[in-house]
Amino acid sequence: MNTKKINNVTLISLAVLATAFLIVADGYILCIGISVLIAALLGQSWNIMSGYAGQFSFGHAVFFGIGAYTSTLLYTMFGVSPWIGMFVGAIAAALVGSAIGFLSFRYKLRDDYFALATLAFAEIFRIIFNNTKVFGGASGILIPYVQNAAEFQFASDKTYFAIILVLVAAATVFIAFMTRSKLGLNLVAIKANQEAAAALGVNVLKYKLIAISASAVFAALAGTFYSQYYGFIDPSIVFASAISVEAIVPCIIGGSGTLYGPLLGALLIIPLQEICNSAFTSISGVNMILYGVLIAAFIIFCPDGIYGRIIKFANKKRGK
Amino acid sequence: MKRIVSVLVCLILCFIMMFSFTGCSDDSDSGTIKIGSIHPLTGSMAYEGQALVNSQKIAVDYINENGGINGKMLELKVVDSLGTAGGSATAAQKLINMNVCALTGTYTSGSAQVVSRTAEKAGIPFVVTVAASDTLLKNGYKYSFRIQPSTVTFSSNFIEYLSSVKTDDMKTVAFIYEDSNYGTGIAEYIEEHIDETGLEIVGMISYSASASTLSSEVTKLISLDPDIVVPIGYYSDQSLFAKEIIDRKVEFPCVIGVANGAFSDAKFTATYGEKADGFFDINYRYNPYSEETEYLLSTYREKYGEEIPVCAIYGYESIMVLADALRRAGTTDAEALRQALAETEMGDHVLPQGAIKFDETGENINSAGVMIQIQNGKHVIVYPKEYAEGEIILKKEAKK
Repeated sequence: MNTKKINNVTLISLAVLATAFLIVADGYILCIGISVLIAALLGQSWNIMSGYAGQFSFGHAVFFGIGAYTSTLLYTMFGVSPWIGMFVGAIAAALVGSAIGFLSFRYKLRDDYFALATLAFAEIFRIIFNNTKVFGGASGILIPYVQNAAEFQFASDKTYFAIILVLVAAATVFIAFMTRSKLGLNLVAIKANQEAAAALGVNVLKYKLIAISASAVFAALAGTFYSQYYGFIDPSIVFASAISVEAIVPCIIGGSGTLYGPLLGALLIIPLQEICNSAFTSISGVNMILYGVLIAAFIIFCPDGIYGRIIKFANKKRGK
Repeated sequence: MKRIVSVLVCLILCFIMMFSFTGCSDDSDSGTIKIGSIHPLTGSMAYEGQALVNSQKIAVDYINENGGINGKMLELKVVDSLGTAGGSATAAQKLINMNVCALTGTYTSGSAQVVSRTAEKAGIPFVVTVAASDTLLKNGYKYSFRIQPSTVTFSSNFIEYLSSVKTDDMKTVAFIYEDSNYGTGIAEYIEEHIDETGLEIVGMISYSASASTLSSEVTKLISLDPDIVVPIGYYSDQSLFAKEIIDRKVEFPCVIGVANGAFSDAKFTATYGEKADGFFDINYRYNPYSEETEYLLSTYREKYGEEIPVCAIYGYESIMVLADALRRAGTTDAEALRQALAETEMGDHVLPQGAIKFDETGENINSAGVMIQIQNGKHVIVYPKEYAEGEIILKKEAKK
């Protein structure tokens, strides 16, 4: 059984699960489902840049925050519908991503140093937005509660679920096409050995910037969705390191550089967090300890992630 | 092939199981009236979150020991907000799923914003325990109520109470405040209204609450040489600030905190004792002359082995206000309860203010802070007069 077949089986299973969920779930469960999909979208976004192209990011909150702030400011200041603002935000995030990438790569930052630079950029953006009164400053921005579909607000959480599901599907389709294209091959080459790729004529800087921009687009879409769903953003929420971590963890658990890894990762980690949360209400902190232990265990015993492990296992069997 | 498929099917089944497990809610005993509590029980704000929950439990126990609400017992359902906005929204949904009749929370303003929206959507009352942001009740929501003073109330209290300590030779003021929503909100409000005090602002120094030292900020502050210093921040950062000026033996004529997380805290006086003598703080506090206060303070000490952190009095009061509304409503129906809350007029409480009463936005119209001063290593309320436990002692004469 090859990777393609596993992918197909996974796709069908996930599609069935999502549809069933959309029909059955309600209230709290639906709320968790949405959290899962937000984590999955962030995970897929991180996957493009870090999983496939190997440019490790610790600061995905930058793109998330820019998406959230662009659409929200356009809406509250100029009355532009978040449906449009969402794409403006995506473009803005792509531009910022390119700028960050260009500056970093121009000064030859690589690997860990690049990761640290992304972390610094996230913090810089948080401080800028925290201190700019026009952008709401530290008090944040509240999105008026209107319940109007044209303004990206819905009475039912099911609609939100459907929208974020479409966004996750779009990110996954993008990755599926990317891996089959020249772009994907170039990115994999860059990840494996940047010098060798350059020697073979791959324009390393260009492809790295494309990867960052594409990644930023999906993170920004997640940002807009987040602000519309929760109705309130402030710099310490959307530019938080917690958001950057939320982008990384599903990939690590599910398998970075795999098509469905981040989806499985998000599907595992968010409900698990909730279970730990509910199961240990009397002793605070146990949920966090369990969460930490699990991540550590995955990194040590299953560095390829769930999906990476499945694919490896299948390929090994075939090789026999 | 078959094996892989079965592995995948197993995985999916696991996920479904996990989801259904998370959905399990224990609403087996439907004889009780459930109230939801959303506070940070993990992370940097866990201490305050836990204290709020503890004092809520005291209130619940008190009500149940005295016959409950119209014969029904109260039950507090506590869910960790994880200190994040997203976590609070999920927690709110979870509690709504458990059929709570009202939500309480959340200690931080960002979380409170998100929960108030969730409550509005679900049409269930939300009583804020602690969250000071001025914008919180500016949404036109009908289901949100707040007992504690907002940043604007604290700021205007400052302007009003200042006259009691300010002497004619005090002319300059400098602010040192943390740069989030809360510190900035207060500092900027006072800045806008500074003309009413007749003072001149010589410095606005902001810092991040997570800073590990405030050394350079304090150096800058000393060089500005203000007559009045106004520090605004949370516990840990303001402790750093206090430590810095105590260690350097800097004597400002007057240090007045506004909603200062450290100065009003029992841990702070336990640490610095008489070294912190003279510091003022305008903050929330209990009414020392209410009998109920005595009960709350001693019960907290007995049960949890320490003095009650001041923020926690709002945990207790939130339950009392809800209980009062539930009694009058005679039902847990959300709309009836909301109506009863809106009509609240509660004279007996532990707060240093008149009756608890909400305006149409849900703000407690009589909310007010008091001014405390640390004297002989203890907190003493010095203003307003009706709640005062002692006289103001000015540390030294302002320089000429």
